Amino acid sequence: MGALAEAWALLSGGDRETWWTILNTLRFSAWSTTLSFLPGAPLGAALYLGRFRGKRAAVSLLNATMAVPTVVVGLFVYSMISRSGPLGGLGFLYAPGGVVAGQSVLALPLVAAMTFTGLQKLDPRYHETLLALGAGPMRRLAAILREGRFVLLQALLGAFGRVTGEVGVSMMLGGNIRWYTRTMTTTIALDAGKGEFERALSLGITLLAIALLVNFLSHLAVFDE
Amino acid sequence: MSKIKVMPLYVARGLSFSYDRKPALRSVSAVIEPGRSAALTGPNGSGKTTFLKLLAGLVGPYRGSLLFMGRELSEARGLRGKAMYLHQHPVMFRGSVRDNIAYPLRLRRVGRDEAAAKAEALAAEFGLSGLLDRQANRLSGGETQRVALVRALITGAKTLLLDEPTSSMDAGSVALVTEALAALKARGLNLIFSAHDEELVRALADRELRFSAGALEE
Repeated sequence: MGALAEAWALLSGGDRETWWTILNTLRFSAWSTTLSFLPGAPLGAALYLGRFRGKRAAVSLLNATMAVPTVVVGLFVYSMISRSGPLGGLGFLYAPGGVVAGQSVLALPLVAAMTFTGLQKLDPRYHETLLALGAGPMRRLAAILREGRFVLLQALLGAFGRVTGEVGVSMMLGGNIRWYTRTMTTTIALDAGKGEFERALSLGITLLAIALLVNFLSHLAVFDE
Repeated sequence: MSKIKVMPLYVARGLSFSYDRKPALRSVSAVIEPGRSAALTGPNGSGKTTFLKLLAGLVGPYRGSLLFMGRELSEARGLRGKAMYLHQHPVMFRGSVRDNIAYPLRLRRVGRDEAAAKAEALAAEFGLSGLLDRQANRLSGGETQRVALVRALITGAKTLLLDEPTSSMDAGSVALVTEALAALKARGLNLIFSAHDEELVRALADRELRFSAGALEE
């Protein structure tokens, strides 16, 4: 109980490092959610609208990429942004850019898959009517995304929740550098390892609150629809 | 004396289609001439809707051959401006009835004011002026069907493919929709429709294509 009280005191007392870590995590998450959403949502919608051979295989591949462990994603992005990698010149490794890049790659298949799966639940007559009325591919894409905006909101929130709670990518690509690339999850891993539970608990409580809020908003989106 | 040969509207030869390997249509062959409305009849699940959707180019790929105005349908570009499919329960987009009727013109890059004016003029022809400002997704079944008809007509389509146009409607709505369809037929539009309603078939159809278990019985 003592640790819990101290954890609460860190949060309510406005402890500078704790709040910096929270805000830094949210900043990384906002960037990576945006960067994964911009290509991911149209990709999922295009997969929904497209009629082509191998569509099933493409959907299976997309679903499979969601199951890739975060450390594998981290390893892949590491090989890209390390000094000897093709994007090494960007200087992203052990920098905020690396965390954002890794989290974006992690969330992209999730956004695409959630968009695709969500749109499949839309009334199929909507797409057929657009086709029948002569809407071209881009018009159909825009109209479907407008009609399925609650699906997009869910995908957005899902991606945000995913990247906020991940630890492997942030640790591997950001290096958990204090006042620079440290996030809530990497701080929890570090502090718990050192046996210093107060800050880990305070950040754990914040993560839990964010997860609940994201879930609540996600359900609200469906309920509103 | 030589006869003038009229090109058939549709020619299906050995037309087959499956949904995820489940056959829905088996080797259907039929010729549909222009100017003669055709009713597709038969029990539920007999292939009527699939046939209509194939004629509209909404589903595919198919096996066999399906010609529209002499061209293989899978290669006929611009078909959607000429043959328009209407669902049994048509979908209305968000917005007013005016927005919905004008929508196909907006897709064709017609200006907002011009599209609205054309929508109003066409709605007036079909006695729908009073509905123009209503929210389209709050119409009754009969009103929705009539608005969907006008929305299809504004594209300039000469062929309407209608899936059960009067199903689940009260008698008053059935009469209004039947009347609208009869007026379209009188204007020379090609009507191809599926129906369980024998009254509708008698009122509109020049011929009947009877489906059973995905095949044509005609």
